[in-house]
Amino acid sequence: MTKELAWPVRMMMIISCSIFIILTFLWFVTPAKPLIAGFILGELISIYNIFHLAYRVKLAGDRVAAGSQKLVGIKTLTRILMVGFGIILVYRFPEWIDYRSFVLTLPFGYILMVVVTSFFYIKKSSIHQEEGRDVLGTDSEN
Amino acid sequence: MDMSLAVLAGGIMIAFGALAAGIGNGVLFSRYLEGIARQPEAQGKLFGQSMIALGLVEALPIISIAFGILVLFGIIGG
Repeated sequence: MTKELAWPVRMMMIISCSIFIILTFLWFVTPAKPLIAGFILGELISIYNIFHLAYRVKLAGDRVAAGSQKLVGIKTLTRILMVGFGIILVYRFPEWIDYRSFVLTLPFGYILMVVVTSFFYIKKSSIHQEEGRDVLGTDSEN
Repeated sequence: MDMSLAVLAGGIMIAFGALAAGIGNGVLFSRYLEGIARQPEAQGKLFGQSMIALGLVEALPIISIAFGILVLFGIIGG
């Protein structure tokens, strides 16, 4: 399973790290530091939430596939509390972090995951279709 | 009066956001586990598809909860 989904995970890591580096660079060069800091904090919490969700879902799936009877959840409350932690940071340091940019960036990771994984499946299905067309073509020629 | 209504609004935003996330995740996750229990070899395919659905389900409640906490903190913190 990990091998099958290696491309989306790698792509998500590359995109999120690139955006993080760009935002960090912007934080140094632009005067709007609170705005960029809100973007950075929102992105980090969002990416953490995504990888936490993926880890918990994978763990539960592995346990069920192995036939384990042990109960396992996906810890939604942990992710909600992580957002709460970000809001506390925003209210503790309002001169450093802007709350509007923080809230706007919270769904970044979810949107990124949906787009990358959907793109992966669309690409995979189109490759399969092309392979099928080739096979059909050679069969008809024969 | 206005302040108490705003507190109520913040509470409702947090509560319904958490409720929506809980119900949506619960339904999706139970179907995912049922699928794996029936066909363990389809785990990889199910994982990717369930992650897309979980991402779509969880994004909106997270924003709702964030706004709810912001409203509450804005009122309490002044």
